[in-house]
Amino acid sequence: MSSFTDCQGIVNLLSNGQADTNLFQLQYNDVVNTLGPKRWHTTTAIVNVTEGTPLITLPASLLDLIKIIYDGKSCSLLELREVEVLNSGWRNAVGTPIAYIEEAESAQTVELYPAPYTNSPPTALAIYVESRANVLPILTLPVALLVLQREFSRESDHTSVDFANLCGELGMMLLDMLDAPENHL
Amino acid sequence: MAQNVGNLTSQVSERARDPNQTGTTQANVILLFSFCQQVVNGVLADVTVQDVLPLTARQLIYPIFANMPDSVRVLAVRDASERDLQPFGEFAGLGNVKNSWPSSYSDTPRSYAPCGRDLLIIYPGPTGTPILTVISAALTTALTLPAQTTQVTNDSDDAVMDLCEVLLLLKARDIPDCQKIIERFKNRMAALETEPK
Repeated sequence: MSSFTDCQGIVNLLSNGQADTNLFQLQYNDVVNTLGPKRWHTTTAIVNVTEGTPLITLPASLLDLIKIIYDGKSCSLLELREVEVLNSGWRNAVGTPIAYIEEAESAQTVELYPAPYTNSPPTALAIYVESRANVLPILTLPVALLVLQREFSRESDHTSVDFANLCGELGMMLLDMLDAPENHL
Repeated sequence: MAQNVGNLTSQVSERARDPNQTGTTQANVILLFSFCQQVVNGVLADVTVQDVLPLTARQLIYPIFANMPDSVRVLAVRDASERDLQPFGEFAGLGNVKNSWPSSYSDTPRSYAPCGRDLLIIYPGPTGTPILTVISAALTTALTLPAQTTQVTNDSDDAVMDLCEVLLLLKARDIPDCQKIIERFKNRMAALETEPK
């Protein structure tokens, strides 16, 4: 059974059948998205680059970008101001990318600095946290508790702030316990 | 020593004032107990699993769940001669070694670094295809029957029972008692985490 189904089973059980099954998917996705900074669901994606184009598009499932590697070298994360200080004409610079800037137009894009001098290959590799349809099995119980928090704090015929708060508190406590020090990047 | 799941879940139901398991059936208590055991072992790592990880030449980054579905947290990595690879405490530490770490290769990998919870970086990348052994905290087996036994130690069984009791009290909306048992669970886990293994 998938962790999604297991999670739904726990929510249904602990809510005594009160949880709205139609809202489960939305609430589950919301919880998974908030897990981004905890860096549970890390993955990689190869991204092709285009000659002279600094902007690269990352996968739609991206929640939190950890690192960009270009042609086997780790790129540094720079802020827009830092790049401007380095090179005021940075937008026209072309060469081998050594850094990336996250302050691009959308969350799913980053700008390489300087823009690649050639089309792929070489490629860029993005290491990032993704949104998943099925969380890692160890997260099933904490995620179910955080879904219950959302379900019982919304306005409905079964709203229970105390129950919702306790579910949220317990879910976060279990996540913190599972969040070992080696996970801190 | 493993303990009988039927006995433990009966005790938990009794503690949650549902001795006849009418509020929550035995099958459902066992289901919750099973998830509680997984979480407790995910924290304490009483039960470990050894997985074989065959490396691919010139590849440094390996997905954990796809290669080792029962691994919850990597504890150690050993090479074919049983030597431990050096853990890099943090993934960011690799960047301090040199920024070309993603293209560093050697006959024998020397170090490893988890990146988040689902990527394992082996450094330097292998030039050949060596096989490593990865030791991890295990995802304990799902419990479904009262005749099964727990996998964690007896001391950890108490923590599993506490957490399961919390869930049963939550289900019964017994908020004040639930808060008391959460405190007991927290204190027990803190004591178990500092206990030498």
